[in-house]
Amino acid sequence: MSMTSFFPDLNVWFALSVEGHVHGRIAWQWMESLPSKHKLVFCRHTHLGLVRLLTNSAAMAKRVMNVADALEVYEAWAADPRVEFYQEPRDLSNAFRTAIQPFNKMPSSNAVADCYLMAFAKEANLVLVTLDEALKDVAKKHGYPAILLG
Amino acid sequence: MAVRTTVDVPEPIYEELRSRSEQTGTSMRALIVRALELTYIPEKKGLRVTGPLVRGKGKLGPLAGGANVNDFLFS
Repeated sequence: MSMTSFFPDLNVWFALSVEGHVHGRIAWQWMESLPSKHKLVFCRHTHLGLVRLLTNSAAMAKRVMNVADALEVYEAWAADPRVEFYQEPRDLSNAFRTAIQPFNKMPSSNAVADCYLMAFAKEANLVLVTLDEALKDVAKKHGYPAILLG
Repeated sequence: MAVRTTVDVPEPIYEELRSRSEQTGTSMRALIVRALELTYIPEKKGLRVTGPLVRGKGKLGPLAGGANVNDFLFS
């Protein structure tokens, strides 16, 4: 079997990281089903996003973490032999422009981050992993590799 | 221990390297070694993560309720 590199979106990393997350069980079932040679990839967006979520009370409520502890969570992931950090692919600006094109007519769009991740996945030859059905549908519709957990 | 080697570098890349070296006060050797490390030397790895790293049973906030949080960095 060829090695596939997966690109979890921010919600998947968050669900994997925090006990009691509503999607934690689904995320861990998927994680544990992966053959060991498959890779999981962080980019700067998901790295910073995970730290931001862990340190924000709107996400963590009373379990909110300080920055140092949140960075340790990321560093534990980064030390996992299955996990790699990818720098932004060289041609991402053009790929992002293509990905966001279907949303060009919208005055403001929360699709910016989703399209960034889709473009990153395509340029870096990764499979985007999400818990968001709408994101998976948009990705599939426009030819971006993506899977939906659950 | 270092090993001496010789490679042909395309002129535009050489000029870019020389320019960066002058601008940053970093030797061309250091810039080349750093680029090679970043590209080809794997990071040292530790233990596999086997479960959630943030333990606890307390309730999470509304953002953890399944919403798409990918644009959270921009909010």
